[in-house]
Amino acid sequence: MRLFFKRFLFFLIPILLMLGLAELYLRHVPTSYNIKEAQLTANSWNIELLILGNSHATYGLDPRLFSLSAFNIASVNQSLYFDKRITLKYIDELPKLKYVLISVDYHSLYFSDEGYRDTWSYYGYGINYKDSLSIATRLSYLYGYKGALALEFMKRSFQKKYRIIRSVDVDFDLDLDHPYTKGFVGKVNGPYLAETDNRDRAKFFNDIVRTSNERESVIADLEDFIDTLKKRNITPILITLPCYGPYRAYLDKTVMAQNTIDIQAICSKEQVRYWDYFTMPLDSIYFYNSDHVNEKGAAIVTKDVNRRIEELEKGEQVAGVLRK
Amino acid sequence: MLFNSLGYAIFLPVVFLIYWFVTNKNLTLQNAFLLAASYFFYACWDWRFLFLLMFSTLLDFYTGIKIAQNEKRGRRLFWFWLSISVNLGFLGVFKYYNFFATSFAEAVRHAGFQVNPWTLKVILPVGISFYTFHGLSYVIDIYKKRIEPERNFIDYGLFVGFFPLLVAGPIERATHLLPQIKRPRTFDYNKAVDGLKQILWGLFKKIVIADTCAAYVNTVFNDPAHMPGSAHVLAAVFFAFQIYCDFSGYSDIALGTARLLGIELLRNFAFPYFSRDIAEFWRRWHISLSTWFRDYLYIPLGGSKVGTWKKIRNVFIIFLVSGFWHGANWTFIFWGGLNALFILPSVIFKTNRNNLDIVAKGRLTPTFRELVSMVVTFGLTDLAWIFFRSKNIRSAFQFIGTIFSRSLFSRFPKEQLHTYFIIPLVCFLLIEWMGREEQYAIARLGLRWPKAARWAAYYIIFFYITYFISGAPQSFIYFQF
Repeated sequence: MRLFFKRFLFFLIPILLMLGLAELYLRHVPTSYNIKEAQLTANSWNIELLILGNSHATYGLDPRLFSLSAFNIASVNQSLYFDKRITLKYIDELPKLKYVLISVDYHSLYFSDEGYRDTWSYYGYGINYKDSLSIATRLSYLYGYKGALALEFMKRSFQKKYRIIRSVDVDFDLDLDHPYTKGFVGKVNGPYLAETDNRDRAKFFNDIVRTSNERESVIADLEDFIDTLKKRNITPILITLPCYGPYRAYLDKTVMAQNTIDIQAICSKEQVRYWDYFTMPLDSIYFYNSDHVNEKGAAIVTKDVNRRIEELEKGEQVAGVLRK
Repeated sequence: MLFNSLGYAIFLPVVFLIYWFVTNKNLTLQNAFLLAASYFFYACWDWRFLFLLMFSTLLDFYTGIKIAQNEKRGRRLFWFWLSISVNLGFLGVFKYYNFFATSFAEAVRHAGFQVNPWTLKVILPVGISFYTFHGLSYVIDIYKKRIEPERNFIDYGLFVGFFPLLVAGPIERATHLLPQIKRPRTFDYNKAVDGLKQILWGLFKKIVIADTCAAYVNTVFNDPAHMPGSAHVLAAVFFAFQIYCDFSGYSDIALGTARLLGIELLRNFAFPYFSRDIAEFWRRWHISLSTWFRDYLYIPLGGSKVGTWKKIRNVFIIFLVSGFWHGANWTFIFWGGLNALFILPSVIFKTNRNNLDIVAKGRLTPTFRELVSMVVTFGLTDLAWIFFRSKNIRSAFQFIGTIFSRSLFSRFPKEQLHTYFIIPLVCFLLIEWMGREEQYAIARLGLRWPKAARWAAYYIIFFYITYFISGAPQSFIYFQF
């Protein structure tokens, strides 16, 4: 028995050592989540406009192009559940916050958890999706990231990519040449707009929507979020970002109609604005893929959104003068 | 609690330490602890079904004693049929009721009537097919006076509920396991190391091969209309690997765990894909179930020592029942029937025992004839697996139809294929081939190498397991049966 334990422990030592080192290393890897969190908290005193949402907003709204001081805290597959909790977590540190752009896209009202990204969001913002993460995931980054991703991080480190750019997306779909600025990184590759890509992407989202039973709870949560923002004199604005025309044709028409009804109902109940860019006519050169604009597309969309914000600002100023 | 979960990685060492260090002085205490640990293990899935397991165990324990106590045939029959009918009744209600109800409604609908069947909204208690078969074989053996009943409930409870075999076998026999439970066990270094190695190999098969294949298989089987024939072929082959690595991986972990605790379980797999005919395949695949059906169904029906027609009947009965055992779906019954068809010629012409030894025994490579036989056998098995995996028989035929369409020659989508999967897959096939004469593939891997090289091989296997772990631990296919 003693021999067994002695040899077994001897066998385990290199494994435990490697796992320990990997754990230590992973805790210090700059990911899009902790980079965004760090940038947000470092500039929180100055932020006037906050961009929330999933990948559509992550790649579709460039905070550098706003007249107001803006920050993009959207992330790939980020749900309204996380949008709300991230904002509320940092809201007290955002004294100048005036506008919150909430991206509401085709599938936004139909999901709240982000799958494996729940773990990544937890490591970035400390938000535990409905208290669902296991103790092991919360305690160990190695366990949470899983082997392949952890190894990918280490591989990139050996290639010294972190030293150059200091921030990367935690996903495999990376854009390592573009560091985050104000929480934003634009897509420069593509466009990937093959018919099969359009169809597959649409199927992916259609499947999410069709299998979901979360619509009512997500809407209720969103309304509560809007109420909270308004009570703090922050203006929430709902926004839908552009998607490529042929891709839209594959989406479920009844879902799109239901989305229109739901968003109009929220707007009328909560008295909030809704800016719909879903069908904005953009050439294929402005798209990264079926449902994401690239950096050039983001510039066009952002400039128009900025114009409308400026108009709102002027209206506010006029209203302020009239009130005086 | 899954074998491939963190929970089990904590549970097993705790059980191991208490088992060998705290309760080792007293056999009753050791068995009681093991039974408690087994019930805890089972309760981790759904504690409510623990009562069903306990009731089933208690019933068979009691009826076993009653059968042995009574000399009168009528009384013996009463207790025997009580046990059989209650056991099969549970199985029928939980596993087959909805199937019969909906199939009946479907049949009636074809006759022009409309019936809304009353279906049960219950989940299948995990492992019910396995522990029911444990109990059945025990009661049948007592009735046939092959064994004496066990009079210690803890020992009998452990025979039925021993955690490594509780949820997916191997289906043990009282003659094999009960004597081990009743015998004091001493720690054996070689056995413990062997157990650890078998667990390591089981985890590799499950996490690296089965779960990676599953990602591709699920994509194709869930959306076959948008996949070319080439993807269908790959998915069919991958499913063969998936189900083998999933189930034999589970069995390896079960056997390895039991061996760590000084108990030998029945071997469940013996490299079935290296079989040269279907009869050999069925001697090497899910051995504990195949032999169960042989001993308790096939032989009582007359086995092969009857006329040709009865022989054909017996083969079909055993394979159809085996298919039905796997699940309440026509696809499983069709799968069983197809295997019966495949094996029938060898049973009729008495060539079913032509290949008893492992292929190319004592040689490095097979002959050309052996290679062709293996490929043909694998092809037939894989054809049957398509029915096993499909949602219904119609989609299985559509699946096969797509394979033989022009799209067979178009490129298959690679998105769901892991970039580096080919390396462990090739290594896996090589190791399985090299180790085919052993109990499990890495049993003697590197035993003649320097220790550093051998350990390096284990580290590499461990590395692949860690690398391929993704998301929540994936359940084992056979848990649903």
